[in-house]
Amino acid sequence: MTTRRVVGQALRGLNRNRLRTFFMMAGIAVGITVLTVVLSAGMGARERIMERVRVFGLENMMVWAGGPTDQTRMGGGGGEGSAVTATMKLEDAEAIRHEVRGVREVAPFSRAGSSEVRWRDRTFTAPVFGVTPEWADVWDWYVDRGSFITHEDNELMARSAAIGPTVVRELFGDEDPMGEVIQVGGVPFEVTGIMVEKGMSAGGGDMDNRVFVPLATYMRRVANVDYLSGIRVQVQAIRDMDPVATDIAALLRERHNLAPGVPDDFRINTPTEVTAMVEEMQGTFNLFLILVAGIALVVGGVVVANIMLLSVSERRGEIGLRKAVGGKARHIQGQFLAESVAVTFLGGVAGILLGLLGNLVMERFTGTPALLTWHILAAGILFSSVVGLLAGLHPARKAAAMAPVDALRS
Amino acid sequence: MKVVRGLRISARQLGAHRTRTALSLLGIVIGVSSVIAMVAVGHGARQEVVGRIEAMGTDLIMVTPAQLRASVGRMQARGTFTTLTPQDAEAILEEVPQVMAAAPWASRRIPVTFEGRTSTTSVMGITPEVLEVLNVGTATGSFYTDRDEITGGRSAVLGPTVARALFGDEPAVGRRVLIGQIPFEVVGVLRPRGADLSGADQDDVVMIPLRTALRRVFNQEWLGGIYLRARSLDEMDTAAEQVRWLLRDRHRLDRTNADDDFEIQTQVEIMAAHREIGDTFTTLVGGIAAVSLLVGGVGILAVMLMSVRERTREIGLRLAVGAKRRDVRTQFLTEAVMLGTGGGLAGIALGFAGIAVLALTTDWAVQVEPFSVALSFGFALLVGVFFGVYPAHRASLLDPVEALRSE
Repeated sequence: MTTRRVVGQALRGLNRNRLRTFFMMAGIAVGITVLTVVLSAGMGARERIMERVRVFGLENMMVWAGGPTDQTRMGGGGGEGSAVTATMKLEDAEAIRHEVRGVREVAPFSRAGSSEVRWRDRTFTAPVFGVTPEWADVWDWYVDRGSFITHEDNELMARSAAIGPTVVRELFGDEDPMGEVIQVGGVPFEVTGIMVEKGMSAGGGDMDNRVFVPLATYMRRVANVDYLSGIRVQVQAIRDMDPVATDIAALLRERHNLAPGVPDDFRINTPTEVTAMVEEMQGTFNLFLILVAGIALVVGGVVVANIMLLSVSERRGEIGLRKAVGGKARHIQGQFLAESVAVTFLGGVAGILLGLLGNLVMERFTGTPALLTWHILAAGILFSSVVGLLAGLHPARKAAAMAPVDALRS
Repeated sequence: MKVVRGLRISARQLGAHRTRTALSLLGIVIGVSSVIAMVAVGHGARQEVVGRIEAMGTDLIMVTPAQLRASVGRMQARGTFTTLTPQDAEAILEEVPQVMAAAPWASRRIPVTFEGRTSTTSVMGITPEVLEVLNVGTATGSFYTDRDEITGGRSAVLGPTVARALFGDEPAVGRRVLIGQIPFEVVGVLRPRGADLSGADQDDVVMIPLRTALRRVFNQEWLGGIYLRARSLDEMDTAAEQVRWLLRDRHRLDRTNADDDFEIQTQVEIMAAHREIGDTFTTLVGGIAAVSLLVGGVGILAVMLMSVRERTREIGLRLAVGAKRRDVRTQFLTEAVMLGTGGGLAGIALGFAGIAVLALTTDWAVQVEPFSVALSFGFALLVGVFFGVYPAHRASLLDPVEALRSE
């Protein structure tokens, strides 16, 4: 039998029983669709959740000036004072940015406890930070209105300030602070931005009680220092947190000429608790995806196999007839193989289209963008095809092995 | 009689075509059990993930004294109000039902010394209720007790940063440290927590009983703040409002119509993340359940349609030997209901088995959602019965000769 004849026969066989063919295709398509939609929705949701937990600061570490044993500090209550250790310089921040692998962003800052902030006849005490524009990115902490400190502000030593909602409330009440001039430690600054509300930190500090001014202006005009209080460092990947911290420590020891045995003149804090939480969350989510994909596979597989088995068992009589008029087992297997391949191919195409459509519907429905990778599609197509072929061929082979009389009688 | 006979015919038919019956049943079983299992897996994962965020303190409310204000020109009064007291904390716990636990505290940065080594750290006087309010615990030793709190005991729990600065790798528990010249015994070391949301080192702390701190170390009567834990996230706003009225009343602010001499804050950002992640999960689980319901439905539909269509000839035969259309319909309805019910029940059993396996192999708090059981069972039965009966009904309308001739 030539290939052309096999294909022709298969297509005729499929065409003769359109409804059956349709259901076989639907089985394959549904198998692919369920896997595609479930997995891409799940992965999209994981991406979204991981993006959301970034606000916990899990990609960031704090490098504070001042070693663990010399912590004579000025001002401020709470957990964060500023060290008077004068060894941490702006150049250190640049060195970390350029020389340590795995660092994404570096935000140097300077602060000296809390300062008095004044507007007209009202005063309020708030932590004042001298920062660069990178500060907003590493904290994921942006302005609600106006603009944050810019590069230009730092170059020109501008007297612009971005203030937190608590400061707005306490100093301005209901009045609009934008463009007003406030005194920070006796130096006038113009309010150019208002930060979004962040609430309190786990340690109980009010994160909204903040005044941000350009780092250069702060160091020269307000604090009159040439050193930093610390550097916030954002890493590229969470798992690199510890190696990057080690590299930064080594670099700083070298730059600060610390001989072996001399204690560090800096401290590095990594968000241990948050990282552990997020890692556990990620583990949970991965397990969830595996389980859901597993269920989807079983469902898809059973539906495909079910329909294939049913449609082939229906055709025993036909197989018997072919054998009775001289068809060999080989021929019959060839015919069913060709049919299965055709059905699987068409069903696969339909499955991909349905999967894409399903993703669109899910996006609309859940508001979460689906994340479809070619792996998911490939897995769906491969799996459904294999199940479809096996479930289609096995009963045909069994029927072909029967005596024609028995097959005809069934 | 007739009913019994109908049932018997249906049962015999189902038994005669074992493969077909088995495949139909399998379709329904899978359709039902997959939805139940998907929903249970989704809810288990959701609780697990949301629980982790909750441990970060989403239900935390923080009361702190407000800053003192002074006008320019007059003498500068710096600092905060000194009106918040331990009695306020007790009153809140007693009178605001939405508050589950309260941990009043006061803290200062003062030197802590051990044999000539000094670390200036945040010394925090706080009641042992901190264990119920914040996500803290000891890595070695134990936390000081209520007894220490009541008697003003001199027990201290060190944060890991302080322990390292003072003791290096030596064990700290059992040693004596000086906190502002007063000797304390180290009873425990906290487990590391790392930097908090503001980047501050949460491990750079020494915790001592509040009473001891106020009387002996700080010599003050007012608090630095009160950590409160709400009973549930939904009650956060009510709790905060109740606390505000209670404190205004206790501080007699209403008589003079004065501003609050305290502030109440929550972890706005963490709460927002919490809510959004919870919502994302809920819709995801809903969507996945809908997809598997749909797929299961298509599977059932296909199997039923195909197996009934195969039997057009049987229907013709029945009609030819005198059966009424109604009899044919009843027979197929009975068969479909039997298949649907049997398959549905088996599916529920399989779904439960899957959930049991999940509960055994993971530490998730999985639970069966009655809604998903009812929905999947009902849907499977509906699809199965409709697509089992409708084609049979169509076939019964045919001329018996036509039906018999069909292949």
